Amino acid sequence: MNENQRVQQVLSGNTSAFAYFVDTYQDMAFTIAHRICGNVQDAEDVVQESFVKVYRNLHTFRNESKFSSWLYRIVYNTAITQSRTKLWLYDQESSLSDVQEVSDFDTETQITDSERTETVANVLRKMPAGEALLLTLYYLEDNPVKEIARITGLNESNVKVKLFRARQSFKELYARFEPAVADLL
Amino acid sequence: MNEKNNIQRDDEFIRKMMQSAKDQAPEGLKYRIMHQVETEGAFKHQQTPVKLRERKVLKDFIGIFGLMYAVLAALIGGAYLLKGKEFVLSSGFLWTIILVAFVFSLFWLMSRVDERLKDKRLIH
Repeated sequence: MNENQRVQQVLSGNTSAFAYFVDTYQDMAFTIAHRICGNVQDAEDVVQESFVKVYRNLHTFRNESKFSSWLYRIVYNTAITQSRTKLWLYDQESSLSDVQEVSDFDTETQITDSERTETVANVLRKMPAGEALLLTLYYLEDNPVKEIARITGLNESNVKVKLFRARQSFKELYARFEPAVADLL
Repeated sequence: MNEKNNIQRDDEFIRKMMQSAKDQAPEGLKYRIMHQVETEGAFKHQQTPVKLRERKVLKDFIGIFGLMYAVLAALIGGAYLLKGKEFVLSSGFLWTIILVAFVFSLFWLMSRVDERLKDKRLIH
């Protein structure tokens, strides 16, 4: 059964069919909300509110875009409204300098998966929220630039430029957290 | 060419690193969402029959009285063409018009009573 059929099921009154959408997208929705809000509690509230909005407005969903993009756009807008974050205004230099002291800690050449996960989480925390969000949407979900533009409301060239900056920031920060990896980059 | 390779390499590196960056939604979140959605759903379904009923009443009204006006128009038009203006303005023809209107109104009344009885039967 495809997503459109499931949407029709929910619209015809089968509320429990909505569980499929929650199961499938709650992790990514939570990841997006967490990147924007910066804390778990607010992210949870944002995700819950977003899914309820989706349910209420399901009749307005058109198949022109992917269901996931539509949902993520709602999560994005809800998170921005709730956290009153100005996502695309930041001082990149300050975020990079914050990490300078951390770089002295890790000098191991081989890092384990859990360490890597921890490092990536730290890097994403230190990055400007907007850039971390772009990387998440681009690399975790393989969303094309066009879909990311739809979700964030930015234009496509803007997304490309910001994505380029985000890659640079990620590399730079990662190298500071894991100096041993810096040579590979 | 070299730059393109570098971009590709960076891309692969970041993609690999990002695989571990997906957060897990907290345990009870799905339950909370579904609970709220089901509450909303129950509320929505209580509202729907009222809307449907209103739509049906309007549809019946337009159907019955639309037909009544069409019949009256045909009757008046036919009488005017066949018997002339005097006949159309006569009291005998006026009673015919009143009778037609009465029959359709009665039909409307019966359909409403029938609907009401059906609703009562459903409630009990």
